[in-house]
Amino acid sequence: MSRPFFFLLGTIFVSAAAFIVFDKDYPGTQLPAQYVADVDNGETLFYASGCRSCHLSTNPNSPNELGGGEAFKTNFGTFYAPNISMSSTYGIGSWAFEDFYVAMKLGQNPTGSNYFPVFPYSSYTMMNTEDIADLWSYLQTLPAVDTPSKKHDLGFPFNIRETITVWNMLYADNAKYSLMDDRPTYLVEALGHCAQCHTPRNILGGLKTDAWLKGGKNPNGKGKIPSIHPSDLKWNKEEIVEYLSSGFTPDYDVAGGKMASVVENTSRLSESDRIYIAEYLLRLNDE
Amino acid sequence: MRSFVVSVVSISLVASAVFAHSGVNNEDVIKRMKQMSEMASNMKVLGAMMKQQQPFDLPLAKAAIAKIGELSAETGKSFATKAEDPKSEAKPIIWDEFDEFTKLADALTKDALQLQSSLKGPEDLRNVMATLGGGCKQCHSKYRE
Repeated sequence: MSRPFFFLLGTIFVSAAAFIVFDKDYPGTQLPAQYVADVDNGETLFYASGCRSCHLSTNPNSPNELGGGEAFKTNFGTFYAPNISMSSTYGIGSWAFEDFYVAMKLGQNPTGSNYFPVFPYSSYTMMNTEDIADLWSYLQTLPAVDTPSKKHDLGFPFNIRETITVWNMLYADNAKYSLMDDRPTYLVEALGHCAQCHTPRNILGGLKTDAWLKGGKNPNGKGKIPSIHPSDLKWNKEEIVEYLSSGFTPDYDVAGGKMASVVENTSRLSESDRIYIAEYLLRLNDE
Repeated sequence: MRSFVVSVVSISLVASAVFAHSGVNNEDVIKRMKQMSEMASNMKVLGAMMKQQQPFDLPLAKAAIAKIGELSAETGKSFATKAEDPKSEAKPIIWDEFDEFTKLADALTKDALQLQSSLKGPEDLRNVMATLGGGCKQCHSKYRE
């Protein structure tokens, strides 16, 4: 896609955003006043939602240092994973739970400014409030990393965060506040955000939901992200569970790139959760 | 029986290599891809024994581990040339960090040698798979798309 085309697209977005009054009200965190966070569940959610796959420090001294820094080169420019460790200066250590909740549910920072959708809040917005609280409590047990976040390197007009308001209305608004009772769907769609890489995107960066999990262009490297739709993957339940546990494909190839990190996460989930993920994928054949 | 198993493995190996490498033009890349496929095929022999999909065969298992070690030892040589191909999954960072890259391959060779000599029975295979798979993953996570 040509640079002038993206420039035009961005200009349209900026113009549209200027006329839209976005309703920033939300119904509060709705967390029961007496709620006591479950740190163990928070740890499970940490691995299920893959925070470390993007935010792990580039040269970590311990396994879960979330100092960020990894570059993601896309058509819109280069994004750098920010520091989300508990550093009060450089990370999110000074946040209140409500700040974290708004980030996960609305994709906004504490000042009300939009995050870019490279942060998959359009998936996390489907998380249960209690789970967000549990995850928040676990994040606080991880080390603070005193490394400043790198500024994203985006060209005009994609560096204008207001344009994301329009994007949110198109691609991230519908699922807000919805709670998901089905564990397989919750694991894949809300926590694992598998679709963010495995579903192709349109020119605006929105997911092509009619090609759900059918693979797409690698946004951060060459080649394609493979389809994990059962009509293409052809793996049975045991094979999917094995892959999520050990990283071995049925042909004993071993996961590489970003997927190696995803498997590191899924290997720490319970066997029943890995089975749920496999069941979700296999039932796509019936839809 | 063993020659039959070896033949089946060899045929599968060639078939999977042909399938996986179709459309690749660069000779060096093809060689690298075949090397990786051969490692996977030997892992598959061990995995099948671990899952009891085929009977445990100590000499065959030791041979598979030895072959993985041997192939891993060749990694530095096979990646020495910065050969690229649109279908290659090797990240260019390999050649920026070539010493680190070959250190990982050498570590896998060392692990394979140790595992080959310590393997006694089927009960050891889980550790063999975890160790060798861990070695593969360490390299793939950083140096493969």
